[in-house]
Amino acid sequence: MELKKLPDAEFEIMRTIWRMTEPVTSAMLNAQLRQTSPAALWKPQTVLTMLTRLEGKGYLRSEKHGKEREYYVLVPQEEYLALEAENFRQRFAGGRFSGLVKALCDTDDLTQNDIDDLRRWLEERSRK
Amino acid sequence: MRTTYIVTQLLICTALMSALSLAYLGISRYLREKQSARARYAAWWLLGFGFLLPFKPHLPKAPVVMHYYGYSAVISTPISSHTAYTHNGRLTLLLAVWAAGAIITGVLLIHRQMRFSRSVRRLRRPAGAAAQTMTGLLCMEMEIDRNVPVYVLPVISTPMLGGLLRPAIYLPAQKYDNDELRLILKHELTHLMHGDLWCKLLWMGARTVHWFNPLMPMLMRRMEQDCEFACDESVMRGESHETAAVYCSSILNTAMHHCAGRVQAPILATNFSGSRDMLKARMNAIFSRGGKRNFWLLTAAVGIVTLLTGSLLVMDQRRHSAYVYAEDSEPAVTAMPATTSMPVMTTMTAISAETTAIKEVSMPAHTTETIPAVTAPMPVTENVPAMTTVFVGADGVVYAVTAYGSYTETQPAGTSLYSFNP
Repeated sequence: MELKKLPDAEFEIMRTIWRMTEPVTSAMLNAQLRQTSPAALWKPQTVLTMLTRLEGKGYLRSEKHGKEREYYVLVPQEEYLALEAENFRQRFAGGRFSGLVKALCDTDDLTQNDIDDLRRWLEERSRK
Repeated sequence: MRTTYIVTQLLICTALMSALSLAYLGISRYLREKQSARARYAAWWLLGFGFLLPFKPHLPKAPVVMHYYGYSAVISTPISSHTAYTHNGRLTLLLAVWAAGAIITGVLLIHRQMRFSRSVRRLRRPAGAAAQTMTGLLCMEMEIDRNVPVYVLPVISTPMLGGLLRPAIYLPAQKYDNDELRLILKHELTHLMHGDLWCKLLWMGARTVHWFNPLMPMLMRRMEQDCEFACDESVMRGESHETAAVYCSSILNTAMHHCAGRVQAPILATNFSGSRDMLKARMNAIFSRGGKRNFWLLTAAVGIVTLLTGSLLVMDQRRHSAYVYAEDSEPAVTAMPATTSMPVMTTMTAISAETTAIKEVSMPAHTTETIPAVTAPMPVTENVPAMTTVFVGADGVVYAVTAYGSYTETQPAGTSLYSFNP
């Protein structure tokens, strides 16, 4: 299944889970969230919804043991962040928006030769 | 409401500010070797404000006054509701297109910025203690009264400063020696001290307003270049020739990585390289530290002209308000087709935003038949018509009665702007 980019709230849940040792129950997760981000005021019901959603997206799997449901990580942190990084590179590497928002340096026309050239120039200039 | 006013102000602003920016570019190019980068960059703030705010204060006396006969043309022959409609429609359409473009540009910029910030928050990790400590020391040295966190962001190829409210320094995942790192951090902190992200935001706003102006991307790039030059100049103040060499080589290294990585700089972040000639010019400027003049007079002139663009070219306000606001009303004049010998007015809609009261106007004695035609209620002030009534006199001539604050004026429409002669 192709991984979808996570919205902020779901990412926050995943980030917390990645730091914990498996298996994770929602009670453990709630306790951890209270500790790590006390300002966010996560409601247990919201956390449960997030977990279900993340399971649906293929980030987690769960097993039911008695009353408690235990969650296991399917996508490790490195894998997800690699996806984010790839996404970032595509988006900000002069792709779709480059015409609309082009920043300072047009290094598009800069070649290795130019740089070697400039380096020689710099060496000369430094000696003066 | 005042479609015409908004559209003309916008066009005037875009034209005059573009001309001013180009003139400034020309002058500063001429002064390039002599003018200090800080002074050159300062004018871009003023130009940015000039673009962002199309509605500037009017001076009492404008050097160039444009008389607007657009309205009378609307109402004059041939009298047909179509004329009014077409005129109205075109301006409104123009305004709508502009607004839509501005909204789209703005939303795209904000969206891009938000995505960028979100990815950055997820991908960054705190930089090593050495960089953090060095930044703390530099902050003290530069009297920056805040904590500036340093992060490593593996996806970028050039160091940058990001975050308007909580600025942070982002470094690529790359080893720097201490001399180089110090200069890079100093460079980014100088951007922070200069408030360069705010200038960028200002220009992004200006760009949103003037999205239709083809010069904007070029001007923005020039602004950013001058911003970097100004930053370099500040970084180099009090540094040695050897340091300048290190700084230059660090810029070249960054350019090389940037070249290899090809990650475009984001919109609200300042960064650290440039293309070949620009790089050479930049390094030259770094070596030739000091001994430059500010030419503050030039910057002041840019500021004054920017302020004047509001008044340099204005519409004739007094006449303007005497006109019937045909473009804002529904069909302002509903009349029989022009083929009929005498126009018969039926509708009396003419709108003004400042409508306060409708004043009674007594008709001249020689009137036999009064057909209330167009009524334009206006705020009652001296010399500004409070209300205009158009009627057909006994002689078949259309008269316009204009009520001023303290008197009324009646004249055959032929001599005034209401040319209703059938």
